[in-house]
Amino acid sequence: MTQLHFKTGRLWRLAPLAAAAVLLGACASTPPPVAQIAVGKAAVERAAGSAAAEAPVELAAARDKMARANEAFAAKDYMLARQLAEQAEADAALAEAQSRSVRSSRALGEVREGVRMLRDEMARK
Amino acid sequence: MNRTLATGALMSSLLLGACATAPSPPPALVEARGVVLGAETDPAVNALAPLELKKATDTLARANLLMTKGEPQAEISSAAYVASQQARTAMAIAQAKGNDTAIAGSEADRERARADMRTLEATRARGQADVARAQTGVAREQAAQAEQRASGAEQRASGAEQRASGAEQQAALALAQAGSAQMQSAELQQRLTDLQAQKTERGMLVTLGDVLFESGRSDVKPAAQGALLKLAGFLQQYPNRRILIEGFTDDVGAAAYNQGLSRRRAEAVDAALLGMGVSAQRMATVGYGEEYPVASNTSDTNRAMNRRVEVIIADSDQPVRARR
Repeated sequence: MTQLHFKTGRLWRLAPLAAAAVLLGACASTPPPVAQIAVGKAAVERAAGSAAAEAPVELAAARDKMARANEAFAAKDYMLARQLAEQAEADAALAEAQSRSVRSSRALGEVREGVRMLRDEMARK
Repeated sequence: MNRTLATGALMSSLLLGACATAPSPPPALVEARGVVLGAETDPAVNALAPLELKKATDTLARANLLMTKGEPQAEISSAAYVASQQARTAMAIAQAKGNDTAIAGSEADRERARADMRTLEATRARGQADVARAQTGVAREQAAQAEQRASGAEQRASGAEQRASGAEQQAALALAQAGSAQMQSAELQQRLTDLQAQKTERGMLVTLGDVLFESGRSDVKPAAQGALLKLAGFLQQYPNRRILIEGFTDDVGAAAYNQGLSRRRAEAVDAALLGMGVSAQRMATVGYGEEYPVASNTSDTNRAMNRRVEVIIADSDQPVRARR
């Protein structure tokens, strides 16, 4: 492709960007995702309450996405804002679910240990 | 190659692709399809997290639809990402619920183990109680046996005591008898000593000398009363003893006369003793005249010694043996 030559000039550098702006504008004709932002925010807050200890990584990802969603919303990039808010909600839900899974595994381990110790004590008698 | 040109060409193609039907699914959608399939085919997820699974499959369907409609890639990728996260959520929920069920089962096991432990302790305690009861029973039996033995021993002891006291009485009696016998024998000895009796093979010998008789006469002088009284007293004390009274003379005079004289003297002593209460059946008299002198008749003293009466007291209740 090294032989290919387009019209050079400073104006041509901007051409792809202009084209991108047009194309983006054409695909981004969505209304402000106020509801989705609210849902995302609520989801992250709820997850923060219950999953903070057991799923810190997932919770941090959810928070990060929500922050970026708010930024995109403020920048009127509504498609991006909605997408990020949806992702944040999904991340928050996963954080909660994983936290619940970790706690139940731990509880199961404790009960099983208790049974084992009881059985050992009986065997010794 | 002009870098600006290349970048521009790349961006253009991407942007064009965002608005146009993508020829191949974005990586996010490929991944989402895999994750959701994994959740769909997990029986635990289907059983325990069906709602969460449905969310994920619906979102994936939306993403696929966006693809077929040629929606922007960012939109497809975002929906695909959400579908993946929802599928993972479904799996985590299934895991959590599975654990909860296992916890309930384990808690039931724990309670059963506790109940078994308590049963074991109760059984052991009951066993110990049985052993203790048995031991108590044995101990009671032993105590009863010991009591019986004790009472038996007591009876034997009291019987032995009785016998002992009886034996003591007998011993005292025997002692008293021995004592009295000793006393009697001592008394006898004393009396015999008083009588100046000599022990001979035929019995105790009391000699009544010549001074007690008048010369040539047979009646007893009063001086002899004392000796005869002692003799009578002795004979009264020992009523089963018999006596033999033997008379003797010296050799002066005729043998026949002396024979008669000796006999008459013996009979005089017999009469005197009779007068003192001695029974006649106990006494026998004999005269030996000049026979059996105790000294040679060569001096007055000797002749006086030969003029005597001998009273022999039997050692037992048998009559005194005669000389010959």
